[in-house]
Amino acid sequence: MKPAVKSKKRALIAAVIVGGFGLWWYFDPFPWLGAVVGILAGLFVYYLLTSSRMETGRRLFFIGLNLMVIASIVVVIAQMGWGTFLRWADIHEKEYYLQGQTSSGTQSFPCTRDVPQVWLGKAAYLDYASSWNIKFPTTLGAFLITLVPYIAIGLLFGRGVCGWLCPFGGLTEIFVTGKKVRWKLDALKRKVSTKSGFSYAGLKEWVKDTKYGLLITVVLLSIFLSFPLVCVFCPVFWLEPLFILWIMLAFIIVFAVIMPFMTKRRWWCLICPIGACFGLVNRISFFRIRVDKNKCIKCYDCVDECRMYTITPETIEKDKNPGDDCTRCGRCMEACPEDAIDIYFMDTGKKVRTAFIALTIIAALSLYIWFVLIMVDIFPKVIG
Amino acid sequence: MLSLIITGMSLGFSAGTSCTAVCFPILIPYLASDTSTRILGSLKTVLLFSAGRLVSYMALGVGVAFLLGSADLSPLMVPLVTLILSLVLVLYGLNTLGAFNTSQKPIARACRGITSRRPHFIMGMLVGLRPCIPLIAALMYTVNLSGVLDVVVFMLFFGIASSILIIIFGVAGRGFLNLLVNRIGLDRIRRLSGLVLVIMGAIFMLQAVGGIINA
Repeated sequence: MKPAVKSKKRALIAAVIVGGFGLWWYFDPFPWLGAVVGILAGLFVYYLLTSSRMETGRRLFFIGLNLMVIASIVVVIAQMGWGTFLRWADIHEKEYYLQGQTSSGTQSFPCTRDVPQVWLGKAAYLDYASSWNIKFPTTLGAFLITLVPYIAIGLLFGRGVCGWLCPFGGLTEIFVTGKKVRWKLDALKRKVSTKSGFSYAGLKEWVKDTKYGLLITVVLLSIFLSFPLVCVFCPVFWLEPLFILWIMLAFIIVFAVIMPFMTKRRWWCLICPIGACFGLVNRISFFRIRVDKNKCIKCYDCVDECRMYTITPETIEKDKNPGDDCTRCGRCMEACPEDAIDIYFMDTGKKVRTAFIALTIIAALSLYIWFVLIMVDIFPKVIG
Repeated sequence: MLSLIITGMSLGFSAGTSCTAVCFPILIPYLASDTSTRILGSLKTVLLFSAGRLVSYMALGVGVAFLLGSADLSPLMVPLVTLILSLVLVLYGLNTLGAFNTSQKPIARACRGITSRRPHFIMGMLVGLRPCIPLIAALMYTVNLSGVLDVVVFMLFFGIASSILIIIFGVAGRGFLNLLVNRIGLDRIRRLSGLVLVIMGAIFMLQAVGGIINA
């Protein structure tokens, strides 16, 4: 795979922009943290843009973010104690997250409905209290403040969120490491042969649609039983009745750990209802993976490499986008011997890999600030 | 008698939204799993579903007023009914997905036999046996009624009034589904509805098991 940029000058400009964002975003309340994050982010973007191994870099970054998420959850629980943490989970909605109330001193983790506020820089981290200060929005405010940024993120990245930003995607990424496929799961697959004689095993239609089934169920229950949709996806919601936590943990272990390890495919992302939401806007998102038919020699290495079963001979031959499940991970780009696959701006012929990488790292920096601050501020206090 | 009818209908109308909320997550995927897209066919489905609910309501009313003497239903009743409902949903969902189509194993054949007819009425009955808050209020009212006829009439009109929104939304839902059918095809709609029924059934099953353990 060719690097994203022809001249190193462009890579340098992108690195400075992303590094500058990191410096600004993390400057308050710890200026030294802003400097460290800015330098690291800049260097990383420079590497991604000038290296021919973008996918490897992405995986390291993604796995690193996910390990930090897991560590920060452990840190918060260690700080509060398991019993206090469970009590907090049980009463949080009634006591802490009331409309219009300024919450501080209680939230090591802000409410999921506040994520966009953190994303937009509207939440302040109070280092003396080791917590976030957030004005909890009204119902309409919560709806808008949650919906609008998520739509914007969906439009920008589509399911690129699953391949670059989502913590669950990161967890899955750890376990798809390696090449040995231990389970073939033929019952879930259908054999397809192309006119040229190439045969491959794609997923059965009902397997692909499972995530939409889950999404519709969640939406129906949420609308008709009147609880916020976003709460269903929130780990704290799972903690409230403990048995849901055990079920979710079982799901995570099966679909994000065991199946990815055994099959080298990202099963969590294949059934995730949030991924389904992003999949719905995948076709209209700005950044899209596409195969250049003029360059393609139909070796179909990309089909074998795709961990989401989304790039197929049909999509290549019909000159279509890979489909709803493409996470822009870049494996197909790295596997292609002819450099025929790249990230394009919508359906135009303009390659925009540089902009995609820069924007994705900026989005990751803004999203993961919660966890970075927990590790920087609370972790040292916990270990004394 | 007239005052009973008016009271039942008033309570039923005020409970309509709540009843729709309880029934819709089941009714919509159930309607979508139908092979026919005719509005009239859906109206028949929704009417049979609602008739099933009515029978349950009347049976509950008579049972509460004359057998129990109070609206304190057994804590095991709702989880057990939910468990049966969840099994019906899962089986019906699997049948819609074609899970029993080809297999000749006895269990598959039995499941195919059970789910070969669309159980609109039974589905309505099972949903009606899971009391929501307005229904419990109506049941409490029946405790003070003196005759079987009074209870039956009261619950009948409560059920009819609370079904109106369900019938309207059910038919409108079919119209909306038909728009989707034109866009993504009947097969995919049926596949999705089968998946939703199975998942919904699994959720209810968990709820039922939790209820049985707590009881």
